[in-house]
Amino acid sequence: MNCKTIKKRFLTDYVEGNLELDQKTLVEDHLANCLQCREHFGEIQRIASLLKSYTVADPGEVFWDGLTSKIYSRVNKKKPAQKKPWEILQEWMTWKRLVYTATPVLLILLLLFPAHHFYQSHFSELTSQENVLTVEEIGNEFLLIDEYLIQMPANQLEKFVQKMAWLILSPEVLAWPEYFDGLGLGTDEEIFQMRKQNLDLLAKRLHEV
Amino acid sequence: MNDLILVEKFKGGDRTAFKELVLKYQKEIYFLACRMVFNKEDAADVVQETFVQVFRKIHQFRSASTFKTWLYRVAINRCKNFLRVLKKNRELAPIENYAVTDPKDSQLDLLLKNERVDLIGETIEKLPKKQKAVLILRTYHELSYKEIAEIVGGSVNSAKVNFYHAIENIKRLVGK
Repeated sequence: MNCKTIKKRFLTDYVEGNLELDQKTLVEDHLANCLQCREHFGEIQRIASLLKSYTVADPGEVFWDGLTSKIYSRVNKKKPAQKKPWEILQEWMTWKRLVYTATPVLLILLLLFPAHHFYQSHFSELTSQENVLTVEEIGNEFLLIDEYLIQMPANQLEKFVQKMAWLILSPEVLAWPEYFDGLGLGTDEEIFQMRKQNLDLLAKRLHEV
Repeated sequence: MNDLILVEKFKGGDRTAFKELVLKYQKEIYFLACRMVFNKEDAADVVQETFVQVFRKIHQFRSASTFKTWLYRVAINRCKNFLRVLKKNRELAPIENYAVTDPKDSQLDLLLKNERVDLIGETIEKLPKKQKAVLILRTYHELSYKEIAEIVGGSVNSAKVNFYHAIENIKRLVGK
C-alpha cells in the first residue's frame, strides 16, 4: 500500500480509531516503515486535538428559553403572503433546471423546423392552388380550354362536346368577361370578342365534325 | 420519547410534539450553526429559520432517514443560504488564494502552546462550505460518515475525502 492510499483512505479513520483490525495492522506496518507518513500522522493528530479545543460557550438557560420562545412565536405567526408567480419562477430557475427544461424544447423545435419546411415546400403550394384561385387564373383556364378544344382531334372533340358542350357554349359562360380582368389582355369588350372568336372557331370545327 | 413517534404526533397536529423536538435539538443546531456561520447572533437566526422550516415542511419528511439527519440537512442548507447572502456583502478570500506551505512543527506547537483556539474558528470559516460542514459534523457532532453523506449529499467515501481535505487545508492555513 502506497503513501497516497494510506493518507487519503485510512489515516483519518486511523486517527479516529475507526479501522477494522486488519486495516489497522496495515496502517501501523506502513507507519513503522515510512517516516513521511509518520510525520503526517503526527500532524493530523495534533490538528485533531487542536480542533477539539475549539469550543463554543453555552450561552445559558436564559438564552435557550428566549430562543425557544422566538421559534414558537415565529411558527405561530400566519404564513407569509403568497409569493408572486415570477418570484416562484425566479427561485425555481437555476442554471441546471434551465438547461434541463430548455434542452427538450430546443430539440422539439429543431425537429419541427425541418418538418415545417418540408410541409411548406411540398404541400402549401398545392393547398394555395386548390383553395385560392385568383380571377386571373380562372381567366387563363378559360383561354386554355378554348385553345385546347380547338386543337383537339375530331373524334375526341365529338365525345367531349356530347358531355360538356352545354357548359362551354352556354350563354352564361360566354358572358363572363369579368373573369378576364387583370390579365392585361385588353378591355372587357376586346376580351369578350377574343373569346367569342375562339368559340366561333370551335363551333366551326364542330360543324366540320 | 422516540423522534419518529414525536414526528408522527406532530404530523397529526400535536404541537406539543414539535415543542419537544425543539427542546431536544435546539442546542445541537445552535452549536452547529455557530461553527458554520461563525457568529452567535446569526447562528440564533439560523436556528429559528431551521425550526420554522421544519414546522412548515414536516410533511416532506418520509422517514427514509432519521429525523436527526433530516434536521441537520435542513440546518446545513439554512447555513449555506445564509453564507451565500453574506458572501454577496463581504467577499471572503477563497481558500485557493492562500499559499501552499507545509506547516513547521514549531508553528503548530506554538499555536497549541498559546492556546489560540480562536484562530481555529477563523480557519474553519475559510474552508469551502462542504469541507467545513463535513469537518464540523464529524469533529464536533461525532456523526458517522454515513450520516454525514446523507446530510451533505454524496457518498460515504466522498465525505471521508472531504474530511481529509479539510484537515489538509487547516494544516496549510495554520502553518501560514
